[in-house]
Amino acid sequence: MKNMKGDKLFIILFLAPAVLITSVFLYFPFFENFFQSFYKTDGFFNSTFVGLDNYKRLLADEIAKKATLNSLQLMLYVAIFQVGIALLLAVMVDSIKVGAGFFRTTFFFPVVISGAAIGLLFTLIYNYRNGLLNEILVSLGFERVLWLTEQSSLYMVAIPTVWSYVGFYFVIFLTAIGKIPQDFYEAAQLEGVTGFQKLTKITIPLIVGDIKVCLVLAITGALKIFELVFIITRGGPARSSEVLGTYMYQKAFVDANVGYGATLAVLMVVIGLTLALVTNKLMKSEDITY
Amino acid sequence: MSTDKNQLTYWEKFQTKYLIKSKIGKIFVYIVLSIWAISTIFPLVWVLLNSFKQSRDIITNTFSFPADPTLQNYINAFSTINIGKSYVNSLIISGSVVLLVLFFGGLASFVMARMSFRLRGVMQTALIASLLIPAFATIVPVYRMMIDLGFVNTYLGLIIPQTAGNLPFAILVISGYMATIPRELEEASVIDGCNRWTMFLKVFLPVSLPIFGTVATFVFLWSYNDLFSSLIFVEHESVRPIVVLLSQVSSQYGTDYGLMTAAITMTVIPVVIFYLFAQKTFEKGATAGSVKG
Amino acid sequence: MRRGFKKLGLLSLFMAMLLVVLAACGTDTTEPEKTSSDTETPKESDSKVEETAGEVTNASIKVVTTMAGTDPAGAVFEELLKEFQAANEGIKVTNESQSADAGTIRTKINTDFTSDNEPELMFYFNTVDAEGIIKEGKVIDLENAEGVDLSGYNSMLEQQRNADGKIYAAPQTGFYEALFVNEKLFADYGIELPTTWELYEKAIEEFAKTDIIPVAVSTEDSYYLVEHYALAAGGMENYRAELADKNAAWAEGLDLIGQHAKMGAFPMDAATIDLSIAASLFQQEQAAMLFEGSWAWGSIKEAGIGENVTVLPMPIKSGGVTGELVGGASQGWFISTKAYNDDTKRDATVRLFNFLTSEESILRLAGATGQIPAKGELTDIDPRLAVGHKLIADAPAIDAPINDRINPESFTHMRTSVPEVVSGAKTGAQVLDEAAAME
Repeated sequence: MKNMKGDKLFIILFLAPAVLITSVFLYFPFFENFFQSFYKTDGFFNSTFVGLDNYKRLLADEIAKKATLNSLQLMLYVAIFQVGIALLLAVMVDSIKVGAGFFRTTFFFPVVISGAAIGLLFTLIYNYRNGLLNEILVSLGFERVLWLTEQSSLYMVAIPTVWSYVGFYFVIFLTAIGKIPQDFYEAAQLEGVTGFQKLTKITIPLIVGDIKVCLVLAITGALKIFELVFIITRGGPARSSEVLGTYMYQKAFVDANVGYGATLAVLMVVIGLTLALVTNKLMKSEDITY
Repeated sequence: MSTDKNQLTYWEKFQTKYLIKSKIGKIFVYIVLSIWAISTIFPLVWVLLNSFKQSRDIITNTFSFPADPTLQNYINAFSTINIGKSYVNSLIISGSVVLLVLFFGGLASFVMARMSFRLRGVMQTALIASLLIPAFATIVPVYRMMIDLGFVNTYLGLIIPQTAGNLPFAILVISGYMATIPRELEEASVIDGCNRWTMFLKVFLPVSLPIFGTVATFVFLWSYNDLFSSLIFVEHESVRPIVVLLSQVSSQYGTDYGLMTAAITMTVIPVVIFYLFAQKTFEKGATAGSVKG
Repeated sequence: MRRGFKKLGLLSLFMAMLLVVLAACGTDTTEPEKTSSDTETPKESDSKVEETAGEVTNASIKVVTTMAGTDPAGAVFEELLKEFQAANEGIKVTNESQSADAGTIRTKINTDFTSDNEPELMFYFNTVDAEGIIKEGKVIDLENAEGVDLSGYNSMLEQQRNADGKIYAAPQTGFYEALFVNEKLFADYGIELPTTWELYEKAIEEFAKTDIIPVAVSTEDSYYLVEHYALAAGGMENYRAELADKNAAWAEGLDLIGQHAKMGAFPMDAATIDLSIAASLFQQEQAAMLFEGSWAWGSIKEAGIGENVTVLPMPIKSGGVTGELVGGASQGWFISTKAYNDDTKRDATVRLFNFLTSEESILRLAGATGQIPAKGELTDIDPRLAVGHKLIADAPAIDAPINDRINPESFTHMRTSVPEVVSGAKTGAQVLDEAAAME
């Protein structure tokens, strides 16, 4: 990390394109969005400055509260299970020789298929009247079960959400594990370190930076979850599975209340940023290089 | 490492004996992996099989084999939009996005990972914040800019916003990877007379190839699957990418689920091919990385 | 001083970088553009051609419609555009239609109209969706526009008249929403058709005892459900009320949905399925009734049950006559003010407008969808479809769907609160109060 002579120029040169493009086409538009949160507006015509009204509304909005709690819950599942399962699978695939390529390819499939298809698939699995689960129950002589209830709906959308993106973190972890030099393991083996110790004493510590990156991605990604929930439960029944993504989509696009939708977007950024920074702090580790 | 490294706990001894060294452990690993693989292959097979069914059978007999396979859905797909042209458009757009994101993102990652400067902390925060910005929140202002620039319905009209949207992800992941590259490599290259640019090009880029491959895969995937932006920025038939096919499967007159499964099959295939190609890069890079010792 | 200079240097560096970026991508795209130059002409050179030619017949026109996706009118519309361009050399029409289902058309249209990028001609919703565009004077008053031909229309044209007394949209086809009934199932179970409110409730009771779902609905995706129950509870007079009135019949309608749900009228998972899954229950003959619009006929016939199905008006409980309908023409052809004021485009735009709204074109478009044409009459119509056309002809009163005329946020709140009314967490009056407060 020691800087060399003339580094300043390189820092500026190397960062400039990325900074420029994202400022103009990402940050600046978001600031515009931020300003809209102080207006009652459909985003196009009729724009009235309302000060903090949208934020006051947000504080009193029971649906927004519910959606936030649901999003946080989903985030927890995503962080624990999606990232956890992915790590486990990556370690397993890394440990085998035969068929590693096959698993590497197949685990990626759900990430590739559009959310619309996964959503429809699970709709047809959970469906009360003709769904796969109930067909199985009926053929075994049981009664049909209502899978999507106010109590269960969030778990029922969490399952496909977690499952479908495990492949994403799996690929990142596999790449990360791949960079650990083989001689580390060889040296460890000479010292008698084997098996699970290898995992806990070499693999995990050496990719802790990548785990951190994945957790940040999981936290930020979980807040934006929208499509699967929208297709499978429509946020229901009775808004029991409403999340920030679906609620914001509804306000900004279905309801043409862009001002309030912008307020929800600000809320998402604030929550996500806070949590991501806390995670970063908690997992603060010294810079490891190999 | 600490001195107690060789003192195994009972649990670790147990694992070593029964899970790692024994056949049972291997079998266990394969069983877990196979179960997961079955779950991930299932949706793809489901989509593929349903694409050969009559539209109405997709809701009613979705989990059975097509009793009377038909190519009608594919014929319909070919009659809705110019498929060949759309594939080419997708390749041009998503290919450009991948190259731009890797190049600009790679440079920025190098700086973020290996150099210290005053605004580094601020930029790291801004990076994470940008991952949280919902596409819904920026689409209208960006569309306005594209109209002003005259980029609507040109390739640039989609390439630019998608590049911006994918850069933060790329920088975060690539810089995370670059951070662990041994300092000795950096120092050795300085002795060889490298400046930062040649250091990036000759040392960091080759060593980081696996992560570039991984990031390329996801950036390609997201760019390629981005129906929402495509419908706004490049809706015209001469530039629209293949994903727009998915918007053709419904209207208030109903959803054609047969066409939908065919459309999904047709959009998925190129990504799987791209992934298989990119995989080679991961492996190649991985060996290159370990050679250095 | 030094610092300021530094900043300037940084800025110019950024600019240089931007140029590099743009140049780099520019080379990416030039090649394919060249190869496809016969199908696509860049925007700028277009206007140049027009300026130099100065001919009114040389123009390029952008048309945006919702006739895309699985809309059967889409193909006919493409044909019509081809014929028009063949007959009017020099006029180039770009069709930028997209299905309203994709969810992006409102964003695109609104942005286009506020960014000086509007289409010359559009077939769009003449509902709350167009209010802003109309108020800003972005589309022309068709009645007082030179050359625009509005002759030959039936009553659907008058229905488009805006609150300010002007007509901004020329209708193409009309629709109705009603109760689709599987006659065969009613006959099989010996249940009388729901021609009155009492019979409707009776049918619910009777079917609830069987394996057949009485009415296939989604209580969340419940546009038609909410509208029809509001209509049933108080007839057309109350249906037409403003949201601010907090009409008692609307509240009663919501409560009636709750009551019927308790009678077992709806699917068990009505709160989470969407309209298309609900409709598929009806198409599989697992449900006896369905609230839908006249566009549902296509998929009903495709499901192979067309012969068993007929359509009935929502039975009115009190305050009106059964036969009153939700329907009309919610979409129409708009000419943008920008195109009309542009000497190089006015003539071509008006010509295309007149061509597309001619009786022949309208009948061809209506023939594809089976909807009710705004001019002339469809001959050789499927007898099943004819029942619906007669429904409209005989209706004592027709009015637009509630969500076409009230604040979208309020309607969404009413619609998405239905599951809570069903579960008893809220009353109809409560929901209505909350919705009215959002206006």
